[in-house]
Amino acid sequence: MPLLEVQNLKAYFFVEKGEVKAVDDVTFNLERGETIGIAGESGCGKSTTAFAILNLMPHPGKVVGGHVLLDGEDLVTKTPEEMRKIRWREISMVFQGAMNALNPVLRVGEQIVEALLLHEDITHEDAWKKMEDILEVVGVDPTRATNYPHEFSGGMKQRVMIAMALVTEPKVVICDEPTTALDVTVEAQVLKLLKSLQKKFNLSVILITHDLATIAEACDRVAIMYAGKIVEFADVVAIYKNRLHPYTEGLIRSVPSLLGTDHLVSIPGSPPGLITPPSGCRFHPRCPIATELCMNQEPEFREIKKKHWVMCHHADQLGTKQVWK
Amino acid sequence: MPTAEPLIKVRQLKKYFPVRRGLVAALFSRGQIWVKAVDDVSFDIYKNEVFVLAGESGCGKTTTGRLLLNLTEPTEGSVTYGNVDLATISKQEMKALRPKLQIVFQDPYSSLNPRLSVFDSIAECLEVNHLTANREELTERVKMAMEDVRLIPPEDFLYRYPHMLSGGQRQRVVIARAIVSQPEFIVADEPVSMLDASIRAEILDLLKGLIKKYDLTYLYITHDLASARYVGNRIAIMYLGRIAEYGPVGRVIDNPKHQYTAILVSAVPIPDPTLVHTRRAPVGEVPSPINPPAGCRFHPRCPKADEKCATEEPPYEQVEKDHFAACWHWFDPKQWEEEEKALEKEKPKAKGK
Repeated sequence: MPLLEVQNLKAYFFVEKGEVKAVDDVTFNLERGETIGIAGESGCGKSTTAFAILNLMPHPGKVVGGHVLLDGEDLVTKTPEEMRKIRWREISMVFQGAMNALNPVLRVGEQIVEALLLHEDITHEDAWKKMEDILEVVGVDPTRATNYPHEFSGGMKQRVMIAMALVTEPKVVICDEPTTALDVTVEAQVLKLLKSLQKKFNLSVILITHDLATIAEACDRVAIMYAGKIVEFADVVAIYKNRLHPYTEGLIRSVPSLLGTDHLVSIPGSPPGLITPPSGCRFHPRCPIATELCMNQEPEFREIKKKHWVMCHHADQLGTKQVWK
Repeated sequence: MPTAEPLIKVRQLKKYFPVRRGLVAALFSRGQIWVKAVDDVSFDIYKNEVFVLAGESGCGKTTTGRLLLNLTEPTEGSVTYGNVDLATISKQEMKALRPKLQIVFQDPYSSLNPRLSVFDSIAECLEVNHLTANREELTERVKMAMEDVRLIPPEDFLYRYPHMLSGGQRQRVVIARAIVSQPEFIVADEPVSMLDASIRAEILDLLKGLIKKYDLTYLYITHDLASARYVGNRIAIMYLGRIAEYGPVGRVIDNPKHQYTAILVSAVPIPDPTLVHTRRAPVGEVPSPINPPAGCRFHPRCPKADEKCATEEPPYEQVEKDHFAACWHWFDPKQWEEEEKALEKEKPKAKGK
């Protein structure tokens, strides 16, 4: 049984103009010790998915349907009190933008200790020791625990954020754009660290990013999101080499490679608003192979091959064939 | 492609920023402290080429770009545009030259005035410089620029405000604003780093396409070597205010000779999961540009550094035609092969089948 199963998850924002269907019927699973990537353009619902899993939807958002099964237990139905116990102890998160996610007026060590004191029955002294250990693990000199965040560089802050997410030894860590604001060399360091910690603690990781090159480097399986839906979910090699959704192909072929690229695909138009998303397949207005069927009927999210899910009427035609010029 | 005479010549360019200190600190210490943002940089940019300045944040690439446009005054050194030395010309002359030198900024969300319509934003440069005779010509020029950046039809966009546009459309407006005065040289400072992947390709292709039409030359500033390779002809890799290596973009990336370039290139993720490669990163962090290391600036983080590197600054030596590196110990791919082999043994399961 997978460690984490997300089934038909729906999370909407209730605003004046209507419901923003930020996460709309999303299904995927996460095995023990694996890393899955969630990729897509800004506003496709990647981060909202993370918040919905943790039951941490910011106002005016709400989880309105579906299940999040962690070891068989449904997190969606938990009371806030129960959820507080699960958060960080079972499943934690590295938030986007390490630059701003730390409290600027609290010493770095104290912030990690705070997480421990909240979630574990532990004395301040022991918590401090544990915090020093975890800083050591993520490669930050423990003597710097008494520093404030402004005394740290971006990469160091990101390490602290990771330390904070791991100090309670959770089973699942959700990393929301953990390296977006960092230089590539620092990014390489941070991802390497994450990989080694994953081995050490047998962690399962959900890596949310818009950077497809990073996904290719770091993930075992990948979910591609578009306009609040997962349009394709498969093994990383299948996603890059045998993708079955036109959006996946467009997205991947729009990224230049360091090894040289002759031609980049650009997807015309921009992602739709999510209050009244397009009918049928949400990608049809931008899709080069859309037919009338795509306009009228929403495709099913189906397992077309073993462990390869896709949401496209024409998925059978794709694969190694290219639909974008 | 590059012609014989460079359009822009940069020689021994330096920019030091004074560090502000409190009164007490200033009283009790001698001398002014400087941030050496750009420290002795020289290069040429040829007509119709895309010259890339690449490096990590804080390496001085943006400051160099601003110096080339005379938006900041250099501490030392010169920038020659054609045969005009930008440091010595008068304000009037500079003003007359401005329309020829343009810039595209990184963040289209903050580089457009939210209170100006698309038309006003683009027209401003023409109006300020009195480049058009009358209103009709002004409108005509603005529309032409908009068509060239594919804001089509222009009538649909003319009277919109930035908040009514998507990120990609805003960046098109920023580019239209830069090309409307028929410039010869554009500094594009991270023009796509704030945009989504699917839109990046469009903007990069657009910038490339304008070279022919407008007879343009670019300085493309970026931290992203993959996009640099896609648009660039030649590249200079900067580290702590200095150029470590420069040459044709493909050759510098495929055959780096400076130890820093080699590590930087290896750190770039490759969008192909079947390719097993080791991402490397230099140890530690970039030192402060206030007191940059003596000798080779990279030596405290360099795996090959020795005493010589710590004391003597390496000169630029030719690797092959047009490709130069300033490093005492040129990078040799063999250096890493042993390490890679050891790693392979450790990790028997490669990704995929």
